[in-house]
Amino acid sequence: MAASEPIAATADSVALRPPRSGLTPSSAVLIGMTLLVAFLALYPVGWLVYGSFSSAPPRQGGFLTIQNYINAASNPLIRGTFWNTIIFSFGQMVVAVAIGAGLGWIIARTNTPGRRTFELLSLIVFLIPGLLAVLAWTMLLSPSKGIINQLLMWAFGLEKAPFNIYSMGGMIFLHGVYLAPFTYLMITPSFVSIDSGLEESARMSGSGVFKTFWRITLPLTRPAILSTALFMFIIGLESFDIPQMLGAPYGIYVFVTQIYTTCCVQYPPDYGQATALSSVLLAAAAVLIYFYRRSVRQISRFETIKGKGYRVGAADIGRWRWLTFAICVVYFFFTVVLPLAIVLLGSFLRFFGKFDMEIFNRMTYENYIRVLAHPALVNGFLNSLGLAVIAGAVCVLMAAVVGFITIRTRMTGRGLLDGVAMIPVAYPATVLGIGLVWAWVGVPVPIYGTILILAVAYITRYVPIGLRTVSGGIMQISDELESASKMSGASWLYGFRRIILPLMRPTLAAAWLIMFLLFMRELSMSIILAGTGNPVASVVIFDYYSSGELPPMAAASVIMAAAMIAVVWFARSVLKISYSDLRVG
Amino acid sequence: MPDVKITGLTKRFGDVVAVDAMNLHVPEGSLTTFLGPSGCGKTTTLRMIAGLETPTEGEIAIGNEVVYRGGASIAPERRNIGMVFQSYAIWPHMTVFNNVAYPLQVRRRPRKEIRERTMQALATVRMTDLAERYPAQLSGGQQQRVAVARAIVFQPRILLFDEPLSNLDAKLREAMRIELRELQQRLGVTTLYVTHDQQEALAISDQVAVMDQGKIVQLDRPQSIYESPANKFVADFVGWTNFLRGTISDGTTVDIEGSAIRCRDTADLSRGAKAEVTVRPVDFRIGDEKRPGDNEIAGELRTSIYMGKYLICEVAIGANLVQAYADLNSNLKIGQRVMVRFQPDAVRVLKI
Repeated sequence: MAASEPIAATADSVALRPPRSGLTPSSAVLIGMTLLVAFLALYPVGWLVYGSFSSAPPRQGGFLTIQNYINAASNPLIRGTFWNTIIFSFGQMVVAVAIGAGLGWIIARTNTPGRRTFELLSLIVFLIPGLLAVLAWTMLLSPSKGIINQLLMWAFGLEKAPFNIYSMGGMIFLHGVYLAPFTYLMITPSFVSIDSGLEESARMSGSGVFKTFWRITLPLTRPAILSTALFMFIIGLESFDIPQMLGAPYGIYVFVTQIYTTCCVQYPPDYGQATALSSVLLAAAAVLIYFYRRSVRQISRFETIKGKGYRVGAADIGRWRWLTFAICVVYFFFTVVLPLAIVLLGSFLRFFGKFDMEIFNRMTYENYIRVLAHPALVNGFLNSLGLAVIAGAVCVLMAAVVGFITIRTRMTGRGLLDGVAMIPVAYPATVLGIGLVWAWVGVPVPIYGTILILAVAYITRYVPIGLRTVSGGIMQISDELESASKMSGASWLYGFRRIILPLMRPTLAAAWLIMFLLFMRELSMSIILAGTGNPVASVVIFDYYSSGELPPMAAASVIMAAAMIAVVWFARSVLKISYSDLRVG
Repeated sequence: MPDVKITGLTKRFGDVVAVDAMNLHVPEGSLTTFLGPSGCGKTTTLRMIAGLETPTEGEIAIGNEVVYRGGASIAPERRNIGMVFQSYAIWPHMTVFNNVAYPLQVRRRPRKEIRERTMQALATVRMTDLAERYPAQLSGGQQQRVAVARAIVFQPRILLFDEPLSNLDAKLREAMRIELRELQQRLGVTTLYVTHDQQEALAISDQVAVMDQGKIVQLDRPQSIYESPANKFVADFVGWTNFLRGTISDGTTVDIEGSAIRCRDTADLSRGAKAEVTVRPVDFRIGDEKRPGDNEIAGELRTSIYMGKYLICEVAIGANLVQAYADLNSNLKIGQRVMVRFQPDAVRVLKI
């Protein structure tokens, strides 16, 4: 190759360009995006707080007052609600963290047989919607109909059902057990990152398997466990489905269910009290989220101190591994196998509650035919699917733009964008739902009462989660890959199309799948915002529960679960999403 | 092939001055290396030439074309510069062929020409056989070659290398640096090369710019850098690790701890001036026969370490601790008095 002329990158003349001033396309995107996420996050909550100080319902005049707070505080239920909330949030946190940390240790740090299978199973537990869990455990532990109760009464000749799922204990048990995989996902990275030499030297110093766990492994992961515990407490504080279905009908209220009852169940509704309670809950959640994020930052600072000669690996715990194996088998039997089996069985029964040897002869397809002929359920399914697919995609797109600007550019104002986009992390879903009612009811645009209000609600609440999911993927695309494209002569847009977008595709697809699953099961906001004109599947299924129609509910749940499994299968095999791309939390 | 002229180039990150009013001329067809420890501003300088970093002040010209002056800039994609990155930055979702063809595809060349030039570039780095592989199937050295092919395929005006060999193991690194130098000479392309490895810099460069705290502290041929370091920083960086304080006696003699040490020259220092005297450990000998003209200085042996063919000893000379070589059969005892001998030619005198 002799000194031939270089090939010019572009035909037009290359000239010195002064730095651009004013509104460039990229800063327009930044400003537009900031305004959009700020509007989504602040508009409903602004109305909510305003509403809590207003003497009249939305768009009906009124004056400013603190009467709503006085009413809420003097509600005879409030004292009980307060303590119930604390007991429930704390109790389920203890259960979830104990099981989650145990699973984390067993799967990440021991040679328990079948660890990979258990890892996959914990993801499945995580995917089981609260509605399905409540349905299954109602079928198992309801005092009148529960199959376990009936079995025990028959076997031991008991007069009374030994278990009652409709109790504080039932709520704590179910919530904790089903959120354990979530704590497992949050805690496991810190188990994985422990240098196995630290444990091995404890074993060499003479301490046994469990002493090593107590004295070495657990203290090392304590920061992660404590911050996860705080997060689980917040989740408990904001939880709606299990307290509403198991507690509220029997007078056990927590904050969220009392808000829901005040605004959406009792007649006439008391919007003033609901917004006042919501504002208090929002403030509490915001404070707790602040402490949670601070604790996470401290952990990541702690974890960056890593030396060389660092080794991870599972410890051989000898014959104890059969004990840990048995624990896992029991856990997954009671969270996955038994509940799914009972729901499947229930979906084929005309009525639920009588069990004898004839039961298999009485099975029928009737429930499936009935629910598929139920217009509300069919419309609800179609709406849920549409929302999950389209709003899910919009949510991921917004998260991707925010994440890209925050991580990959040095534009001024990107920190603000990130901060604003993360605000809804602190919003309990129920609170956001009430805020959206206040914000849009009576406004002469077709949002309230249509499917759009649900799209707005889902997107607002889940952009932060989408953002966290895509951020990891964006960070993995090294800066130099983009620089190399520029040095090859490619414009930003060309490089984005040929380099960045293809590399981000798996991340975006995984984030979309997470959104899809979250949107399909969303109940807390939907139940406030979905009406007869815009039903969604989760609310219709919930209504079956409220009216005690367990077999049709089971049939609808089976259909819903099948649809979700089909989508996950499609994502895995067609979109090639691997489980490791599914980053949550 | 154009030359590169850098004038008054400065880059500040907040209060930190990364590159400080740098002036540099890179003659056409030459290979110039920026050598320095991490944080000395060498990569920042390279990225400013590439256009990936915006200077705070100064001017950069490639040939007759000014690419940066006073805030006005030519975008990196319009500068026609080939660059090899530290991480190679091979796009994992494209085949080797498409990685290398990318710059030509960007330039919308005819399909036939793209194929020919890409295969030619791959042949240059001996990667023709692996054209249809994906990067994940390549070794580090092979990825490195792909990165080089991609940087040269569009016959850029200049080539930039940002620590291209730092991710390879030692053996491969030595082979690759010979290969890179051959390639650069064959293409005759003006090249800027960043490294923190002094051996690498000395082996491949026409000129070396040793950098410290955003400034070029010495710009010279490799041999001059090695033989006649301009100051203590450069000396230390290229292996002159023994430093002794002394006072200039006359044009060729320095007084150290009472001994008169003869040397080649005294760096134009006047009589009575304080100076830093440096000798490489390999030239500091213990126990050798004293040859006529040798310098001699007494010290106390502190440690000796067996290195196979010789011993490396630490010797205290007054308040200074220096390293010296000794023969295996020297029969030395820790704490004993030893004479360190060295030739005047092995001594460099540096200003303080």
